[in-house]
Amino acid sequence: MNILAYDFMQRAFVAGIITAILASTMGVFVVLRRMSLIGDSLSHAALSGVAVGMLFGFYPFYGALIFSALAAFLIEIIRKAFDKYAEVALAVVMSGGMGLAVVLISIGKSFNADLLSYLFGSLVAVTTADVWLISGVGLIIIVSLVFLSKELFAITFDEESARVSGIQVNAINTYFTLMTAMAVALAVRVVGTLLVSALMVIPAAVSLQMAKSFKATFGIAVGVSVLSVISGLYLSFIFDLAPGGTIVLIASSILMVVIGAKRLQS
Amino acid sequence: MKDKSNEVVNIIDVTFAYNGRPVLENVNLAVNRGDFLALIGANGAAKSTLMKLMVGLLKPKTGKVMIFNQDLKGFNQWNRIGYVSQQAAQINTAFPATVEEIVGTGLYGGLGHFIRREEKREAVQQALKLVGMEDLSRRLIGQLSGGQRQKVFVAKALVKNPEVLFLDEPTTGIDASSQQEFYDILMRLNEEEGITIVMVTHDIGNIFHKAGKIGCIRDKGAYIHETLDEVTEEHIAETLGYRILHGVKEHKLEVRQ
Repeated sequence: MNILAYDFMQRAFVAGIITAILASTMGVFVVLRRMSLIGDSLSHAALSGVAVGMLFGFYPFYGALIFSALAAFLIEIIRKAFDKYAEVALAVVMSGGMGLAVVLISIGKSFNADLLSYLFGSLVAVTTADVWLISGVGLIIIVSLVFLSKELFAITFDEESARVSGIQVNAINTYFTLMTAMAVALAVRVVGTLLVSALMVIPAAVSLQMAKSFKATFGIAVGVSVLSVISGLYLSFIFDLAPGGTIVLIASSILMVVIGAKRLQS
Repeated sequence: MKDKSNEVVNIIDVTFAYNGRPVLENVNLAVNRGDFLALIGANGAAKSTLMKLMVGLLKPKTGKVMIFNQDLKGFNQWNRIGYVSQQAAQINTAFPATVEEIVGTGLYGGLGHFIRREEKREAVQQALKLVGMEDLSRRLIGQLSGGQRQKVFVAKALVKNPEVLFLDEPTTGIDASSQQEFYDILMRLNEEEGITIVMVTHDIGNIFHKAGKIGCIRDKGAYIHETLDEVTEEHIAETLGYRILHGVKEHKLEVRQ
């Protein structure tokens, strides 16, 4: 069966593959910076942005992007107040984002069904407008990452030394935060709020088990992520499963197999 | 254009406070080209604070820090400075990067993007050679011992051919024989390569006869002894809070903590 004969599947594959590349690349930096849960926090904030969009009648994806970015900066502000308890900021923004989303859902009862597609992802319902937005924002993120990858590597490894090397650490960190927020908002459309963190963290976790260099870490993470999205989409189409959940289950299975193989090896 | 005068660092009347509590007051200190200065002091004496002021990680409340005759506020020739942070000793040993990749990050900052791959590889190999680690360039950082890792961090600081190397407690958590080897490398860099070295350390027993200059950090001030002959048992006891068994005159200390 040629599933690419269907327009909606073509859009799903394009959006899915772009998101897989973005989420896994950002995910490597996020995991190495010990901020694995930032995806969860930002995606819950993005959901409230989607609800605002639906409530006030504008494109919900814009709401997700704006709220995710605002949440990212809020995390930075709260982190400064609790610099020894970084996870407090993530928990506060995650529950705050969810709280706001729930309140907005209760106000705008009519859009509950649409909102659910953002909660669990609705890759097969991706519109042409969604694909354009994912491609445009995705391109900006990828170009930024390629241009700043060396500086991000230096900062992630040893922030103090990076400052003394003349790297503009604060500016790059702020920009990275904004890029993370954008990537999360895009991933929300694909796998949904509840699973976005998995698409960022699991491929990075697999690569940390296997990689023999920093460069290879990205190659493996992107490979696992793209493989999970392609096979997840295919299987979900064949067996009529939820695509977001299928993608994440495949990525999780790859991680389990890699951990098992490493244990056997040692 | 690079200034080749004798002065590397000049701290002028610097005061620094954490949350309104001064930890350094009216400190004056000069580091000249070719110096090997060891800054010693008890825990909390603000040795690392002083070093962070020198490299611009902290800003003085009052006073001025000059580096290569320029005010640190507008300084941008970071390739003239190498820095091994205290954080380096506490890195995540599961970080998925090779020795070569980590040393290469020392080149980023200024014009790192425009360095050709071959040039970069050569600079990295040269820096690794200076610390005797060229054979381990493909190893993951987590596969090295604590002593080897510290040498990698020094190579990372050396990769841009700096004129001065700042090291903040670089031997923390390293066994005694690796420490000895590490100090020998620093001495060689100072004597043969002409690199000025400023180092914060607790390890007075090992560093005493290797450093040419000792800076005692105590009572919110810095007391610099230009030669080891100037240092007395009392100076060390006042600074560190414990007495030396013997060896100050011979420049080889035996310490009782």
